Amino acid sequence: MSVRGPNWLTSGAGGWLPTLQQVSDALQLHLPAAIGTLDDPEIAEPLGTSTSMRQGLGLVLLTGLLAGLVPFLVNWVVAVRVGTALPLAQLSRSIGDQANVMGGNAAFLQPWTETIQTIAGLSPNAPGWLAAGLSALGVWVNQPLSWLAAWIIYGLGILLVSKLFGATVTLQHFYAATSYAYLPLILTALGPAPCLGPLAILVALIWSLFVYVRAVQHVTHLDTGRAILSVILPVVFMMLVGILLVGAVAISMARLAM
Amino acid sequence: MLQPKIYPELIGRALVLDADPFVTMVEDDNPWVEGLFLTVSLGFLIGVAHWIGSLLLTASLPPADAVLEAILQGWQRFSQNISRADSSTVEAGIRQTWTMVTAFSGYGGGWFRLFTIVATPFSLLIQWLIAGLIIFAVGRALGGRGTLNQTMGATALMVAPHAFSLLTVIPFVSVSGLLLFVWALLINYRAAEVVHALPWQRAIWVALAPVAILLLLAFFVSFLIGSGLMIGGAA
Repeated sequence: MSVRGPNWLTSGAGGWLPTLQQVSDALQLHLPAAIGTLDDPEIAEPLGTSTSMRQGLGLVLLTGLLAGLVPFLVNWVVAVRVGTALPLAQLSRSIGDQANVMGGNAAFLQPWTETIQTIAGLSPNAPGWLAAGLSALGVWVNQPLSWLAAWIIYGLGILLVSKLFGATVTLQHFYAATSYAYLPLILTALGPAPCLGPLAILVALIWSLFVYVRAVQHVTHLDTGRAILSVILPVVFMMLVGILLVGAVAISMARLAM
Repeated sequence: MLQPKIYPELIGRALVLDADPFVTMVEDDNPWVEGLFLTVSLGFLIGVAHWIGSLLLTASLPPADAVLEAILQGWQRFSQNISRADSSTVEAGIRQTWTMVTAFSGYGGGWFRLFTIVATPFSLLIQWLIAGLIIFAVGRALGGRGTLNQTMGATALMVAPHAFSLLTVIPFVSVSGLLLFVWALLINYRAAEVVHALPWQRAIWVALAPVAILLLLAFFVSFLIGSGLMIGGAA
């Protein structure tokens, strides 16, 4: 085995995370200082001078976990109060809210609202607090996994568009740089807070978009306009595909009903 | 010689697209066997994680029979008030669907959930064999220099993203299939680049080849089935 040393996996936080200074630079949109100008991310550089894809992976996972920590605790308490698994408690609450919003028009929903509430009221096989805890833990762990999916899949979309614009960047350097865009999303932890929540989510998304554009611009050497297009076009493409799929399903259902 | 001790590091490095793990597999004394053992070991561990996860899922939810009873009562109320559909047919359909869903998810209990311990390594193995063989053939056709043995060893690392599926030991955790697919595609791209010493433009085509060929095959098979049904129907 020619892999460098036996401690690659457990090489300390420095191997898996950028320094606090790099994080601070990235949040202030000083992306060149955070990412560095390293051309070959496989060459080991002094800590804090460049970002590797491994550090990017660690950053996305840690940020996702931190963003989900407070919601996890809140969710656990909510589920313990209902005495059931979190998804059942959430489903029961949301279908109840839906029925309330629709008022008298929700007669067709009534039997299903009652059914969901009946199921949520059933005792789980394990003690209620344990079922609530396990399910809240599962929902928490899903948070970094979904951010990871966004980082890899959406990132590949951005990379393809920027390559079409003439960018020259390696996969590792690109993913290392764009991982910083997930830092502002930590603000989404405030999402459940009344009034402040929606504002925090809006700020997080806009801030993240700015970091994405600056990171793409830095690693691809594209001009600002093309960097913005690289970040936006995959979203537009996915929305168009979504609209087409929904339209196709709607047309099929309409034809079946005729 | 098999080196299971280094598998966690190989997987970690493959995830961040380092060239080292691919080189390690290529330089192994028997890359094909190493890849086979890596794939089966990871698949087995994921299968065990799924199994434990399904046990915990069953513990976290109300008894499956009680849930089915509540659903059937809900349907009866719905059919009495609103729907004009044949109640008994729909009830039978609900029972059948519920049996299938609970069996496959492991929620219903029974021996079937142990099936995942066998099915997961088998499914990973099939994915690897198909992708590895196609990548070898297309890589060589595009001027690559790697042998079949080396290609199979390096492409075995495409199972690395499935390591996240070990988290399904926690109930309600799900790993995006699209994430696993895209990440495996990126790893296959690196494998093609390293094993066959191809420039990145060609390595992209090599990595995309398994997907393109399988899509074409699926299209061809569905065309044949559709044609067969139409001709049979007309006859």
